[in-house]
Amino acid sequence: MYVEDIGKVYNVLREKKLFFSGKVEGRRRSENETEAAQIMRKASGRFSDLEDFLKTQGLKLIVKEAQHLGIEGDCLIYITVRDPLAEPPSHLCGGQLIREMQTANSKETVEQLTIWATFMSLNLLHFLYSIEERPIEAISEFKDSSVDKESFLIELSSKIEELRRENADDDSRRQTILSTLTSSDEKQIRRKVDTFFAAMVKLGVIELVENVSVLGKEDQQPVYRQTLWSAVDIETNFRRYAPHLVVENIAEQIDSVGSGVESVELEEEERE
Amino acid sequence: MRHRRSHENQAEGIPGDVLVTAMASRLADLQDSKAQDEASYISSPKSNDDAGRRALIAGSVFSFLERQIERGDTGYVSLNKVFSQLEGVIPNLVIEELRFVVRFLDVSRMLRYQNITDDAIEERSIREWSRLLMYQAKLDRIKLTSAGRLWLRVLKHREHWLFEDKEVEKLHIAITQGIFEQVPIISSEIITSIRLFNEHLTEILESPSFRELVKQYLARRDHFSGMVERCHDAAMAAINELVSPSTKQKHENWLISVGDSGYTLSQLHEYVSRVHRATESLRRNWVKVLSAISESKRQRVGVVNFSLALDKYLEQPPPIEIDTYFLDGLSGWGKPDDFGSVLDVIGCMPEGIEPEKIEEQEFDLGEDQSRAWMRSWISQNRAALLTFLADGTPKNLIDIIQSDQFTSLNIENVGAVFGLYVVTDPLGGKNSVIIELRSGTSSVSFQDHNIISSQVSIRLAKGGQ
Repeated sequence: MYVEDIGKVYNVLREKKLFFSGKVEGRRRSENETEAAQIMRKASGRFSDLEDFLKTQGLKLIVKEAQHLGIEGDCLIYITVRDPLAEPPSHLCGGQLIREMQTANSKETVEQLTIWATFMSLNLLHFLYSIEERPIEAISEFKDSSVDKESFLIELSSKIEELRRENADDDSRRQTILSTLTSSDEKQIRRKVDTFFAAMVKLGVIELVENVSVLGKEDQQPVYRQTLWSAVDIETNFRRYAPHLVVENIAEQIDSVGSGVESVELEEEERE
Repeated sequence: MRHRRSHENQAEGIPGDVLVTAMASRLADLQDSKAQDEASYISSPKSNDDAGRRALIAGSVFSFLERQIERGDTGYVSLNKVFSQLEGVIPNLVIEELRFVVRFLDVSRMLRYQNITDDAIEERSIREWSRLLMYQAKLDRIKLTSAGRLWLRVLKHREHWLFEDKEVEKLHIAITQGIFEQVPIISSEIITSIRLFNEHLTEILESPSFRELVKQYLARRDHFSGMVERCHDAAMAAINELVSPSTKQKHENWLISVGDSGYTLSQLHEYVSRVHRATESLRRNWVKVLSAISESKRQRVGVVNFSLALDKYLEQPPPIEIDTYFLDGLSGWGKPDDFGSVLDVIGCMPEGIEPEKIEEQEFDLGEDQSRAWMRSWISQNRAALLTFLADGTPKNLIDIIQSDQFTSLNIENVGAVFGLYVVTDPLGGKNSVIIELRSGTSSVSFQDHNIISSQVSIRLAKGGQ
């Protein structure tokens, strides 16, 4: 692959995080996407140059097929996620969610914003994964995931109400978290949810579901779902950035895990 | 909390007749239902206490009659004979309840439906296809009706893909025999089935119970590997058959007999190619399943209860650095405008590798740029374009250019693209596409010295195939 081609494909991947090898009904592709798809087609599977370059960016190319994921069309989908084994260069480092949540008149500190962002992110994952008992590996189920601000807000508010009844030592981090999360009224929480959803859409974690809405307090509210990129990224990287979320007693949290013991038994069966 | 892991809903272990009855039951209920637009929930009729027993008796009667057919006897069978066979199988069976069931199945019910023809709705109904048995009261004997025989065939459908290759082979047979009208129908059936199979494999791959679910395939690993390969080979054979000279001749004869409604070879090629792409995709997914089996030590995370994780976070919060790490992980890359310096990128470029020789492309330098763009655009979209123009009527060029089905195109000078373009279809046939001023355009308007694009049409020249 020519350096110029690598650059063109990288630009599209950086902007869109993924692109399709062919046309998808109802989705208009930019000229850059079409060109990147042509470059990939011409390379016919010989992506090692591109992969080497992406590695320097701490990234990894994953190719999925629409047919395998049960989504429309029969094209390939080129996706880049962070390589769990690589160190990214400094210009690709994070903090982007906090930056997105910093509004012009916000008086909150970075620490307070981090607490809110973590609190809401865990809730978001609860909607995208836990409610439907979806395994972290179930990429193809991204298309059926759903979350709307109204239900999200109800869940969030009830959690915060519980927290209002709790106490902690004055100087502990727990106390900082409790006081941060309980210091906002409903209106402020609603505003935070709006900002969080807008940030997550902008960062490509969730997207609007077309032609679906739910009845909110006053009007019809849009429904969001996880993006394919986010599903692939979580499947690839979850163990790396969130090992602390899997609680110590695995049986308590994970309902079924392919264990080593099971696989040994299976291999024995196969030999027979 | 909803529980809905789909692989738990496999139909295994359910008798075939019960399964099909269950699948059709709500459609039958819909016939008698009253519209309750505002109802908060939709009710369904409750089964009688002895419904299970009746289902068992009915199922046993059909099994008995099927065995009769196997032996070659398709005539009437006396109810006494049926009873003597079934009383040993069904505890406490009395002939009266057996008679009730067969008499019941002898009575037809009306099923209403509508057809849409030429924008009009036609009310229709059928009755005879609901009567599965013929019961002669005077002679006390039974026989399968045509519907009953079809019912037995329907029950032969299996929810597995053991013999999917045989379905793909039908395509080859249809082409060899010149039954071209069947190609789109068979293709669509195969694609539906293979896509479901493909998604089923993905579901297994993504499931925490992967090893348990894949066992049924492992037990027949060689068969499935062979079957997936044969599917692919059969699709390839169908494509090769389609481009053979003998098929071309058969197709021409077929077109004469069916007239304008027949499919062109290009269209048939597109149908078969879709099957081919589906079988290729299936093959790749199957390989993934096989390689996932060999990755025996890879532990899956499975289902994580994030509500519990949140409780834990609130109870024993980790240091803020862990939060930041998690948030950076979840939301991925920084924004493009955070891009710091290109030096990092250049500094890390991989070692140059001699590129492979690529196809040379010739450009006519004397040609106007708009025309070159048009030619390139036609070449990129040729398959879609030929299908779009297949009926021969001129289309607005601007509608096509702006349609989602085609890649985008900007032309600075519409007037420069007029003319005849030769478009090669997937089978190598030459088609002529003409871009011209729309017929009936009496005067030409100019806007910024260019012809207004809505006056330009595109069509397939006759006799191009």
